[in-house]
Amino acid sequence: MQVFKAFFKIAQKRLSAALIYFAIYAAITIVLSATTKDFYADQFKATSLTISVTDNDASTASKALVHYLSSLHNVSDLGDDKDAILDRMYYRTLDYALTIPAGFEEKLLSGDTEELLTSAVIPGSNNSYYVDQQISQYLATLKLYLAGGYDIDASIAATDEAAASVPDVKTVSFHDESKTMNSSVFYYFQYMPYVFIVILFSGLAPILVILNGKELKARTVCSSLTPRKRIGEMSAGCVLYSLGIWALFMLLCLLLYGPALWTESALLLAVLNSFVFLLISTALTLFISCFGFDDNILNMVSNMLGLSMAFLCGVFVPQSMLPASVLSAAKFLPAYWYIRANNMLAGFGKEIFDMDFYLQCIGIQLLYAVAIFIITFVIARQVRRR
Amino acid sequence: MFLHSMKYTFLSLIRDKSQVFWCFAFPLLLGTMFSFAFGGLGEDESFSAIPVAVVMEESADSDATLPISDGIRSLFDGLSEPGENQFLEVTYATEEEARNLLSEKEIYGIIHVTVPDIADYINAKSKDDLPDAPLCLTISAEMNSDPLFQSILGAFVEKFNMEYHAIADIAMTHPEQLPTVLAHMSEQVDYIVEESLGAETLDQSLTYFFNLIAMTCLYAAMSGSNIAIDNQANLSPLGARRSISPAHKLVTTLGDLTALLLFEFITVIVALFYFSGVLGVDFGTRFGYIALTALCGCLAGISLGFFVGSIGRFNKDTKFGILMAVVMISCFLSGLMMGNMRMIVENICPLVNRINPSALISDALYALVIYPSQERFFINIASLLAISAVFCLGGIALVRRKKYASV
Repeated sequence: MQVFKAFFKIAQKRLSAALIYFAIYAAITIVLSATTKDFYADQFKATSLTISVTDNDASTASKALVHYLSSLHNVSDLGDDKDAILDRMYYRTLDYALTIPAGFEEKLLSGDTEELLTSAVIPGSNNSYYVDQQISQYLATLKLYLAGGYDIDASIAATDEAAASVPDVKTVSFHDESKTMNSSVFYYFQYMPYVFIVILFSGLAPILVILNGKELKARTVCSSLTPRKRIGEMSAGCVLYSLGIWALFMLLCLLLYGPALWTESALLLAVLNSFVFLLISTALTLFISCFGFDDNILNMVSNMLGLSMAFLCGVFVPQSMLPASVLSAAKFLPAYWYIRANNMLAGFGKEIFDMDFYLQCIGIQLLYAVAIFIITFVIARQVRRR
Repeated sequence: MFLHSMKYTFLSLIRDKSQVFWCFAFPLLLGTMFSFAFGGLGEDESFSAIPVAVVMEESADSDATLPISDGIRSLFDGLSEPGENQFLEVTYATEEEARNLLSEKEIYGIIHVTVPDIADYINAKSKDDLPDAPLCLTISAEMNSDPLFQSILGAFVEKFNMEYHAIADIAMTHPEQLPTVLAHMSEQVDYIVEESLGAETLDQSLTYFFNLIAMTCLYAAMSGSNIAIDNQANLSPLGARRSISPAHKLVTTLGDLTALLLFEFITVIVALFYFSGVLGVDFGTRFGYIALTALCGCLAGISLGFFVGSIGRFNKDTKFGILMAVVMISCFLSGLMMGNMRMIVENICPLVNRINPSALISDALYALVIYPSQERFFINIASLLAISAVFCLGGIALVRRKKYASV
């Protein structure tokens, strides 16, 4: 057990660094899952956008329009501050900016309604189309009442009533099982591929690099310990280390989302999914440690691999938003299958749960893990022969 | 001595082949992946026709409703005419066919058309006697890929129903005005005129490239901390040898830092050329200012590393861990993983964005490329320089006049 013990002696020396890594990535996961939850929730509702309305007319008609928009959207007034509007639009925290110029009501009453209002939008965005349509429908109806001989106050009242009388949109569901799950837990699982890769690369790989270092390895190899046993003990250390990291993240999940969830089958499937991805990450770590990189390079490689896989496979940007060409290339990466399975469990995107397909995703990931393990052993052998 | 120290630090940097390779390869490979992944990010924001099924429910007395139902049909046909302004992609279907299409996610919604019977209006005495609104939208709860399309459909149906409601109202209360009102209804008015914000581009994927550049600059912190460690006799053998040499410590340290700055600056510039030249990322035309940002970014990264490397007697791994934590959190908060994170931070605690080096670097680039604003650019650059000065002076204060009785 000498190698196994040495493994954990090194791990203990590096404990402070490992704890720091755990803390950063746990914090990042928590913040991301919390913010993405809002992002997705907004997308699903979609009817309520964030818009800025600047009312320079302050007349009965303009106030009625603002009131109508406030009933549909989250309305604020950023005034004429173009910097603020542009900033918010660039980061997509503002969808639409409307300016009601002075003289709006006068023009409306005189029937001169061409280009009554000015708007600033994200070019070509659906959001602008949507708000434009709502404003037009309100003004068009108001105009009809005005033309029909109503005075301005009566027209506004009648238009508001017309807007209120519109029947609600009916929603049908084609699945019998009602989803009672707290699906925000799946946002947490969504980030696991990135987190496992970076944590294991920065925490576990340096230990292996030290064990594989020229002098330490030479001393071990010339002892009575067989090479197979040495590798076996190192692997046992790796597995235990990875399991520890995995267990910490599952514990954190338990603390964050409560134990009640853990009886749900969908969540158990997500836990299994994360476990299989952990195997892939461990295999990749073993693979990368064959090259004997120092900490700085390991960190770069971890982020390079972790971030690329995360962006290509839909960890940070939802798969439904990625172009088809990227998705077909991503199929060659294990994280793609992890995310597919997670999407299916959570019902993100268009995914509907299908047990066979879930098992297929798990199977593909297992194959990846096995393949990487085999490649690692072949390379380790080559290195040993040299 | 300054030049001597600078020369040899630079030589030792470029002779570590694998380090050099990864320093250059890191931004290039990651940038290539980014450009793959974000190639089509903005595409789903542009508008395309919405597939929808229309179910016509005609009343028993079909002769009376025929002209109206024809009118509604021609309205839908008009909206689904192929061309630039095509709004809908209409399939006329029975209730069952439409539900099948909806469950297979072929369409975004079903519009039920209940063709109104004119007799109902003639006989209506009050508003309560009027038939329900003629259009009704049904959507699927499982269809959540483009929820805005469902909302747009909803708004379309609402518009039709509102206008219909208005006509019905006017027909009851002011029947004499009906021809004028109908004339108004048929005219197309553009109520809203779009104004430009003066931005060069609103392509959000640029944020990720800005943050990648920021991350590359801040990764220089690792090498910065090595310089600090290499100057401390109790942390490294090189530090011990340097401590007994008669050279002025401040001068040699500054020489080391300058060499590192030069090296890191070159890696960032190469990455910038690759992004704009090979990947076709549009960084605008002000290359001088962009290079200045890269230089200040590298300086901030190096001084951050130098400062952390100079603190206390922690071993190299711990210092490295601390730096990684600072760099990753800094990049995370400025939007490396989620583009609009910087804005979320701005709303919660704007101070973080004023002192977070990654946010300052990416915002300086933003001020150059997205929204030309000299003032904002120079505020960011000044903040970066101020932060670098604080870290550098702090680091020097921590290591100066250190004496070792025994190492």
